[in-house]
Amino acid sequence: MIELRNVSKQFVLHNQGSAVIPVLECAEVQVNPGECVALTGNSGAGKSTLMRMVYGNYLSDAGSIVVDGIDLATAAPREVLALRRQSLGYVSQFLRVVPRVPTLEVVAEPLLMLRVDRDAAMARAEDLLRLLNIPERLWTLSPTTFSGGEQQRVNIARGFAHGYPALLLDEPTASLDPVNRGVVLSLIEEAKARGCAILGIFHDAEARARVCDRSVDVSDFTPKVA
Amino acid sequence: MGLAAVIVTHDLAVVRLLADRLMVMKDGRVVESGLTDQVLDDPQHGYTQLLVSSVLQV
Repeated sequence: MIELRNVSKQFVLHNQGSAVIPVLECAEVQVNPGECVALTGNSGAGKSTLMRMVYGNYLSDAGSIVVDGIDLATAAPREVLALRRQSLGYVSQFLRVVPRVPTLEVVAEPLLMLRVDRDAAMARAEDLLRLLNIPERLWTLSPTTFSGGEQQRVNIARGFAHGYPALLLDEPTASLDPVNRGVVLSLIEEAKARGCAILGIFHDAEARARVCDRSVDVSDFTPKVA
Repeated sequence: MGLAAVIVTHDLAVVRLLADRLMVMKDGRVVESGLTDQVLDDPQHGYTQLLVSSVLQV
């Protein structure tokens, strides 16, 4: 369950003439268990900003963002870290990893952090990598030298390793060919079926049509110019 | 291992990968603190913004 109420955000750039960039005003979004809600709007409207606020990566200036009972707008850093470990997954557009860690470990990491049995965690990682068509010969290599599409699939595998109750997906099908796009959409459908609440950004209209139940246009929350 | 650690560094890339939380200091005072990725991606204090903007993406 993800619930945003009256959420506002602006950026103040202190070293660039104290420029104030208002982005969102009075944003309201609700995602129920088993639902996938798409954030839509033109480039620059605030889709990724809103998503990062739900993850606690960006601060909120006003309002509440409740995920699994925790209000990210007011939570202490340690509460956010615990939420991210247990309840809130995020597949961003970038794969950021510690160098030289094998792909299998990267994907298994969310489970290992939750003290899941190592063999079970690695087995789950293998299943996901196999599903996402990452060749076995790459599993022991670091993903930092992989192609963009391969990195994205490793990122996705990591994001789906643990059954989070809430999931944030930023362009999960970008950089993917039709076969792998289908695999990712199936993973999303599976997650919905087990009651996951998903908030996603999909520029791919077909993908959005297949897995999303509703859309929210973030330009509805663009602050009015005085 | 349950180890608690404090890292003192200028290397923001290392900080992002290793630290859960971050404190930014200037002239003997903590000017900003919070979740590592939040402080680096959404810095509030002018000094933090200056530090973050000085790091080149490789």
